[in-house]
Amino acid sequence: MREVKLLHLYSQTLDLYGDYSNLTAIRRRVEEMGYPCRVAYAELGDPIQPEGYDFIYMGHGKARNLAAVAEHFCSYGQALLDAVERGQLFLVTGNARLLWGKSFETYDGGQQKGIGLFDTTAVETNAVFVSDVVAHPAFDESLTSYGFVNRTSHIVGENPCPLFRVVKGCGDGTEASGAEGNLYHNLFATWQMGPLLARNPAILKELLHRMLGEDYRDFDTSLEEKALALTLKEFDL
Amino acid sequence: MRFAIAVLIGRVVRFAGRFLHRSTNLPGQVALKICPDLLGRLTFQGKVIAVTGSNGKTTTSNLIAHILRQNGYSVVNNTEGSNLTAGVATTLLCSCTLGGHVAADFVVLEVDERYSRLIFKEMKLDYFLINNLLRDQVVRNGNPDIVLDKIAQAIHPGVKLILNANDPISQTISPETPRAYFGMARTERSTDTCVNLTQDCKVCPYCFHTMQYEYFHYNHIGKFACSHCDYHMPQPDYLATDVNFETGDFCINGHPAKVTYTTVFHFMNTTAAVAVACEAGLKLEDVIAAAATFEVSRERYDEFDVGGRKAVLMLTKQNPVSLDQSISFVLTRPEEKTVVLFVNNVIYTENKDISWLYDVAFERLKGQADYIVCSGSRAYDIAVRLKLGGFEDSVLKVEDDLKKLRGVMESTTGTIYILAASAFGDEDGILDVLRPQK
Repeated sequence: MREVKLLHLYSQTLDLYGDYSNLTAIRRRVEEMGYPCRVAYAELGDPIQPEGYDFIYMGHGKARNLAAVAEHFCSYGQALLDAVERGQLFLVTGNARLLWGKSFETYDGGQQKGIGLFDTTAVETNAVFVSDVVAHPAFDESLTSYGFVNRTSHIVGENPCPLFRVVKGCGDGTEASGAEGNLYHNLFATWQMGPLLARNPAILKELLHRMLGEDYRDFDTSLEEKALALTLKEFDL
Repeated sequence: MRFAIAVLIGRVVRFAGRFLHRSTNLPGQVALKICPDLLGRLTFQGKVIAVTGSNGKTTTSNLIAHILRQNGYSVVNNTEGSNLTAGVATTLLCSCTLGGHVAADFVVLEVDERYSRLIFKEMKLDYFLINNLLRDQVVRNGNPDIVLDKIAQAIHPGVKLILNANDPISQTISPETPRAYFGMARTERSTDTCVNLTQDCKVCPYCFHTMQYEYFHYNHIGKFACSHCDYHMPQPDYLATDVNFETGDFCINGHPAKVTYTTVFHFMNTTAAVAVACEAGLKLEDVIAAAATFEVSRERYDEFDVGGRKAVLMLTKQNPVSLDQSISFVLTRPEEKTVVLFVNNVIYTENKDISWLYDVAFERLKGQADYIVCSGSRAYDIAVRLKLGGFEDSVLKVEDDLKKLRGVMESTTGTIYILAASAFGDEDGILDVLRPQK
């Protein structure tokens, strides 16, 4: 029987607002399908070797912590870019996205390089910006998702491959630009923080489909769907 | 002239506001409109003490005021918890002369973390207590780093800081400013590993290597040392030891002390208040004696009867640390029990975010609560959270329609613990249904 291997990047340093639950949601469903599941962690200072992992996750962190991991992350830039081009499955939430752009402004006004998968930069405001986000995911625009952003940075630049078409709330910047996140090969990236997969069962299923292929087994998400429907009902759509 | 008019009008508004039930903020708002630098123009006969932090501000500032009054000093403080700029201005306007002089021996102010920099931009501040810093309401405050940066802007030369030796985050503030530390030694409730999901200091705030803990009091508050650099818990100047959760007895620097409310938080809050009073010049023995007579306000706690069953209401803030503490309280109760979780949309903003529920260690209730009832406008989202945590369907009951809640309660057993994470007053909806008319 196949063993599913998950990798959590910087689980100690980039750790805010229930982000861990995205990994828990994946692990729990994989185990329910009957596959053993192992979670590995690569912290600041550990080597990052993407090969062999079925799913790689990194989440939102404090601005200082993001700056602290940036050099280390960039030193494995080529391996990470190769992994994306190979079609490995990634989920990147919150400001961890900034590490995948060309560069970003740090909390103290400095400039930090990213690994350059996306042709974007980011400005730091040091002011908290929050927004509900109601959107249609690019992989199936008939679906509607809910998410929440809390951040101090905005992404600037062209986004040729958005993950979401936003109907309510902000995009990659502060405006309702209509586009949020990235979906490039199997890399899913979004500003939406916290329990993205727990609250959006369709996104969870899409990731598991891509991860497991023929080994995927469907599961009951009626509770999650009801919770999501009740949330969406509160918006004047 | 503008200042004198502002003081006068503020006091008139305060008088009128009492009849309109708008007296805690409105006078300050009006006076600040007339004279924006009002706070900086006030003069003080005595010392000004401020209390901020994520949890325990109201209790600790009221306790400090109590200690000072018991020792014969006159004190002005914002007991009503109006801790933003206008609330502080209101408190001071009501206590100053028409010339703007506050004649009390001490002013003790609870101040909001984000607003402290505005309040003390020009106003005198002598002692500044920062209780703790943990991730708070996501929508309002952002993460502890952001809050810390804002508090730092309130610190000017001449201030003495009183800081939590057990908190590796808040004590990094303004390193050049003189400081005294309070702290608590290991207790019988300390744990070797963090039992909470919210742990805001897994890595060192200086070098970002793994932070190691000898024990935890709660969340990231404990005895810490960085695995890489020299950063470690400092020696507290005021150290609580020999904590007895049964009797409330403990020691501060070896002197016997007592509290009437025996939670980890309250032992620490009391030690913090004692530290502030001693730094302000009082004798330790006198301070400890006064602290022992302080009664914690129970406005966030109530007990009543629901169909012959005991029910306990605990109001919590919409942050994981606050709800975690309520769960810790429930876990100290040995009887059969049903826990009712009541969560609405985010206070004030109505955002639908419930990410903070994923930072609450509900898992500790497994096998401890016979039933968990999910209620409020986010009832189904609570259920999704609990299912992710591995709770069985047989334990969970979900009802977002408050009118039907009483019927749901009839299918549960034991003492009812209602943990209401909502705005004050919001809980009336659930109480109207569950509590018999008084």
